[in-house]
Amino acid sequence: MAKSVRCFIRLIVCLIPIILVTGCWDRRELEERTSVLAIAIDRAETNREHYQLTVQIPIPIKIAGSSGKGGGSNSDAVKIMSVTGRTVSDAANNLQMRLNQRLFLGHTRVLAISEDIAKQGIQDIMDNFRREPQIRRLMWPIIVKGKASTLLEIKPELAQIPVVFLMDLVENGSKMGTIPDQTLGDYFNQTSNKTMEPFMNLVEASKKDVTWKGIGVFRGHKMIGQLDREQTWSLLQLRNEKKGGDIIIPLPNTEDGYVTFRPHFVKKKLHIDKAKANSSGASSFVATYHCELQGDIVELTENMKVSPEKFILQMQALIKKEMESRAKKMLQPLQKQYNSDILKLGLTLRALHYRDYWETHNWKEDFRDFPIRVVYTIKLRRLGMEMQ
Amino acid sequence: MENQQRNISTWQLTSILISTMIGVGILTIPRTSTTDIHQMGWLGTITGGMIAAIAIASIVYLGKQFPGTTYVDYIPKVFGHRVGTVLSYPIILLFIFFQFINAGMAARGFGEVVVTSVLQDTPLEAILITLFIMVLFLCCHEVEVVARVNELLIPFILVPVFLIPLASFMNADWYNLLPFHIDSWKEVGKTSLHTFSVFTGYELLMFYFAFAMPGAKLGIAGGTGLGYTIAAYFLTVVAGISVFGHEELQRLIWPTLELVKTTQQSGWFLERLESAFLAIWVASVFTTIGNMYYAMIFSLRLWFRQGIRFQRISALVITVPLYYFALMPQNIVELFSYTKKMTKFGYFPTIVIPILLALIQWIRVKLGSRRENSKKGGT
Repeated sequence: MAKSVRCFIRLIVCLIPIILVTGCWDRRELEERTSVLAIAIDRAETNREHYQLTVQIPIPIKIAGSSGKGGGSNSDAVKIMSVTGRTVSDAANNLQMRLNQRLFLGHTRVLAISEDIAKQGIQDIMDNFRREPQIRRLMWPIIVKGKASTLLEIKPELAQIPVVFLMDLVENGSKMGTIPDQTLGDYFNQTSNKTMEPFMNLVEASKKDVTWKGIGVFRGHKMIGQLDREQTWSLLQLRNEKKGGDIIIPLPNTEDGYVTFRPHFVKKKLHIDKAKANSSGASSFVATYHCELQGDIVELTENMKVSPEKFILQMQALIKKEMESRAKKMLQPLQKQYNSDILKLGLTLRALHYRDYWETHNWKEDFRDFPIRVVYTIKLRRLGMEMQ
Repeated sequence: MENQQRNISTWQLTSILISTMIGVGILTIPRTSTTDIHQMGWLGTITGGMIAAIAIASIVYLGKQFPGTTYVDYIPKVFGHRVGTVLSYPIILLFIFFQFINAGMAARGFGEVVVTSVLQDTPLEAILITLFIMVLFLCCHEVEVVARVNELLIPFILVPVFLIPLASFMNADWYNLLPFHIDSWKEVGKTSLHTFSVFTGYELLMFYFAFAMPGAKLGIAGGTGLGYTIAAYFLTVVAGISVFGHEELQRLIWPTLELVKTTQQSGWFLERLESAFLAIWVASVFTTIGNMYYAMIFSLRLWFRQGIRFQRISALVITVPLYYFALMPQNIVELFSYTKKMTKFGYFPTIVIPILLALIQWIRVKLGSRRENSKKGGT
């Protein structure tokens, strides 16, 4: 008994080093990695078949606060490198050849894709991002007007690392309800899901800064159009119950008067009703979005000269009309032009009307002609610090 | 037969049951359960669990009929002296063989997850060897130690298995779970039989019940253990479907791991939850493989009527074929086809045999032909 125990202990002692050694194959210290913060994908200028991959790599020593020196102009805090390749991973391999440490994509937060490529389809690009275990599904895919690399080259000055600036822009926007919170994982889910189509945030970058322009609408893996800011805000209200931005409406019967309404709370209800069978008999469903906006007036550039009670009613009617026409302006291109259901209407239809609608229809085609109505209810609560 | 120590408590039995059942399967269950019945995949976990429930009920019945004896000893008793002894050999062999391949496949599955997602440059062999050494160490002790290890590790399995689905409900889209309808019951049956494979491991109760304290509540241990496991699988599948949608699930190789990866939101106290999840999950896989391997080795010991020394030596010797068996599938596709085959093979030792044994025993009792009244003692 004792002998076997001793023998066993000896065995364990021999084996411990083996166990400890296993950690070393993948051991990689922080400074032995080149962390990429953002990736931009463009078409290569020399060869249109190839991709150009641009990455932004932070330089730790140059980031203020990390060591005594630090500070300086923010352009120095990151390094931007461009490579080309036949595929994304080919380009990444070519990039590796120019780096002293191993590439690490675990910290990548932004994937910028040029509009040009998005319009031709990005299925082949996304495959690598789906397979690579380092890639986080929570990163932001963003479409850039013009060249995607311009997004990485901005010098925002407000933040040392441009990508951090961009990330905060998107993150805060989605917190405020003005920018859709669309992650790479969402994009993946939406492309797989048979009931919906994906979309991505669309930005435009200049030398100094970056502007959020709206969203790019996809059908399958191809971008087929875009929605501007106001359209996106309508979409956000109907899709995610996010409030969107301030609504500025020209006052009727005035020369240059405007009123600005700031929504604070959004409630949405989607009713799918069986309409009375029309003469043709087909498509007897109607979707009605009931959307309730609660908010304040934050600006009124001209005095309306009406009693406060009347003023509230007038304004509510005005905003309701405006919001409904905006929703129409959003649905019109989405249905007729793009035929792409990014509203998640198909998901609701499949969930609630599987037998009586979904089975007999091809949603990818029938979304175009599905009647959608939007009814807004505006509840104007306060007028800011003014009495009227 | 040597007198077994009977000192495993009800809670220890429950933890053995839970930690054996929850293993590698939890990483793939959202995908495997939705392949055929799509958004209704959660149903598979319940129906699969029901199949397991029948088998567990049979095992509990057998455990109560033969307190203090493992299946190795009670199979001959069920069939009667002569026929039973002969019949018991293939059954015990089958049972031991199933534990062997189940442990091997679980180890391989574990290795694959680690290699594909975290340690990409680490050889699979190194991961397997480390795991097997731990299991081997466990096998050098008496059953009491196994029970205590399970009891010690159970909180690490209980909590995250619930926490992760619940946390991921934050980005769930509930309409993904609808419509509530079934296209064909045949597919449901297929899915249940398929999903059932994640419950395998409960058949070890045929072994561990023998060491239960006199007075331990076998029925309660089996019931709570299974109930908890069904709930855990159910929640995981619901979370998977509602977050990803059933179409996307088909494309994900380890859906639960992806679920963990997408769950972190800004403002969470822990970002990159998946490392923590994997670390905890190691414990769960270790107990699965450990319990299976232990039961197998100990069964051999009982079968050959040997002592602890035999157990230690055979544990060491059998690790070698186990290691090579785990390395047999040449790629990930082959691994999944192996596990599929194993599931089909597993119906026999995990469903058919326990139910059959219980049925025969029940008939024997009913007929009043209780030929053996002694609680212990050989044939």
